[in-house]
Amino acid sequence: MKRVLLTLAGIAVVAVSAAAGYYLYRNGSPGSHGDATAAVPSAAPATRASHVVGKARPEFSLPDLSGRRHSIDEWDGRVIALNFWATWCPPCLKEIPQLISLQSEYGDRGLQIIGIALQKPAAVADFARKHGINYPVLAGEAAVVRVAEDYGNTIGALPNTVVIDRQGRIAYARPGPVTVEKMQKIIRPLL
Amino acid sequence: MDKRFHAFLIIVLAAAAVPGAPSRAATFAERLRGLAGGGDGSGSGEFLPADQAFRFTASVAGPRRLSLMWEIADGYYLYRNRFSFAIVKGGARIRQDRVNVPTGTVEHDQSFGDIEINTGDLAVDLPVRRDGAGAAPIVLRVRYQGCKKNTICYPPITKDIALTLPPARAPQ
Repeated sequence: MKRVLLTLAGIAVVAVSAAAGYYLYRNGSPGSHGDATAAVPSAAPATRASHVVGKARPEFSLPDLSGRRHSIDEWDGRVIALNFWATWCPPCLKEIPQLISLQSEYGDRGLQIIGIALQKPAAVADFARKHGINYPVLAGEAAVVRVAEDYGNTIGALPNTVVIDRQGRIAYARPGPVTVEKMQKIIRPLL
Repeated sequence: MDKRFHAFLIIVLAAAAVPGAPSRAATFAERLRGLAGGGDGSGSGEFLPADQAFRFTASVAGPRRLSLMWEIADGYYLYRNRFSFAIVKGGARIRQDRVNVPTGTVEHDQSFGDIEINTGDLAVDLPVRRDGAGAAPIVLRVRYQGCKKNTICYPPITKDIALTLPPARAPQ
């Protein structure tokens, strides 16, 4: 009977190892990439994780609306929401008041929204002033396309929002409009 | 007897557990990805790349006519006033005064007011004025822009297409 139990235990070990091995083969080692999508709050069940989620945020620098260059590492340690947009994009304009409201509400707790306009700075400056955008806006054309691609936007569509946690890892990245409620669910666990 | 029983156990359990493990592991992995909001990894699963949202073809319809066609995916649209057409290389010009983009539908946008959009299949003929009667290689530049309703918009799209106008027999 003892031998039977030993045999059963041995088979169980083999079976579990096979399952674990297959899982690691399919998904990489724990913490290596996609499984870090667990960082995406489960409060966003209807969304699909981008291939950049869980990865360290890429470096970039872009000019603001007065021409001064900013590097993304200026905001290290805060929860960053990069919002890619343009003035010709109706869904982008619709979400800007909500981003302004989020910055007002959560700025003191560590949220930093950064608008990244896919346009020349001069084309955006009036709009930003007129609409009272209360967060930094960076702008550019080809350079912004490259940054958007680096941050997982493979189809080049706007708006596109990327959330980076305090450790500099991408927690959320996807095209499509966001709302205050949706963003709250994403950022609150990170603040 | 003991040995045969052990062999039987090994065969039955191995058949039940080991070959089944990959499918169970895959299901588990898929479930994990689902919990994490995972999908196809593109981050853009529900949105089409621009060239799939607006399938575009251009062809020569005659010595003085080009034919353009867009198949616009369901839920997507092109702005009627954002089309532009030009021959940027070769001895011919588009007769802009005779270009007619089909009438679209008017929608109201809170930022832009009334906008006219084209959906579904869209065909545009481009009458061409040519410099000579011989076969004429040209490069046609077409620009257009569109969105998926209420969700995303694409930057202006520019296509340069190399075409050859066949020889023209009669004068224009």
